[in-house]
Amino acid sequence: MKCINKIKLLDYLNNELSERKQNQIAAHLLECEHCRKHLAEWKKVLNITQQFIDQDIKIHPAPPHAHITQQFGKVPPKSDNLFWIRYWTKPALATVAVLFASLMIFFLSPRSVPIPQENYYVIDNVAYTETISLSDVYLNDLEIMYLQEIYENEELTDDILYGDWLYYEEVLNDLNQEELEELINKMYDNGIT
Amino acid sequence: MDSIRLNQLIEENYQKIFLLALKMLKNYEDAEDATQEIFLKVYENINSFRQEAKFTTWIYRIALNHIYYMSTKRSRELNQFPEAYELRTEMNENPSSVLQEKELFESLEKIIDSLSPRQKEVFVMRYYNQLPFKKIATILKKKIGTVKSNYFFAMQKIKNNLQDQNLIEFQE
Repeated sequence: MKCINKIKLLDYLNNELSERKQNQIAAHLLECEHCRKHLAEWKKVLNITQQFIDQDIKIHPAPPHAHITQQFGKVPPKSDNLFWIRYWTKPALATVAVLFASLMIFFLSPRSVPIPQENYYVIDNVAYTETISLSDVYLNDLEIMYLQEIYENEELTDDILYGDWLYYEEVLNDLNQEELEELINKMYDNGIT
Repeated sequence: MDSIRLNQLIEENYQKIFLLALKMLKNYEDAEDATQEIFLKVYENINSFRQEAKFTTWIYRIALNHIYYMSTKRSRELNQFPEAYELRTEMNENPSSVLQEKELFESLEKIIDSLSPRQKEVFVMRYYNQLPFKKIATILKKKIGTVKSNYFFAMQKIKNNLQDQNLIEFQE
């Protein structure tokens, strides 16, 4: 068995452990001089402390208090009619807090604002129909999407670009960013949607 | 709770609560006042005692709250710690050991005063109020291990201080 730690040693001295543990430690103490020395030290400290406390308690008797118990009859104790309030305050406050928080989240969260009619842009093809709002931020994404559409969907490109896909592909590849944008604008102007 | 039983409980606990207040507040008059106020509070609020805890546990909780309230109030008023109360040591028969014992006990008094509030409350409840650790843990709403370690560190401090001041000798 390993040496006993100090907290256990104090528990042993205060008789705080189970009987099995007390016996185990007692057995260890018979073998281990190191622990015996510690035990003797602690015993001495506890003895001195106990002596001091016994004396301290003896010289500090309870101060006179008969007048307190006499007062008891005169003043009635507080009635506990606040019992329900005390017990319901916390849950009620919690509910109000949760409601308030959820209302705030509802009111302060960003929501989609209806877009004016003139800003709608309608993609209306054989393949699919979609209504997109043309905000400034969205426009760029739309162009990219539209070009991808042209590249990816041959049927669509034929429809849009009057069947001459190969030619337009070459042209599109040679164009730089600005020219591309110009082309797209032209396409919009011509009603290619 | 009928008034006879209440009086009996107060009789049983008055000195213990007084000692707790005395050790925590380090002032005789303050401790006396605190104890009176604590028991008045106990009486006033007796109807809100709902048997959830034992009566003594409830008293000790009220007492500790009031003691901490008083000590913060007092330290705000005085802005300093008052001098420790005078030690009233009873003289022993044997004059040579009297001085030694007096010196030892005065030092112990100071060492106990120098414990941290957490260690001191556990120490006082353990030794002055003779409460078992389990009860102390319930009163303080802490785990029994925490209470025991507070007690251990208090005892360690007492031992080290006694050793440093050569007030105790251990056999080599």
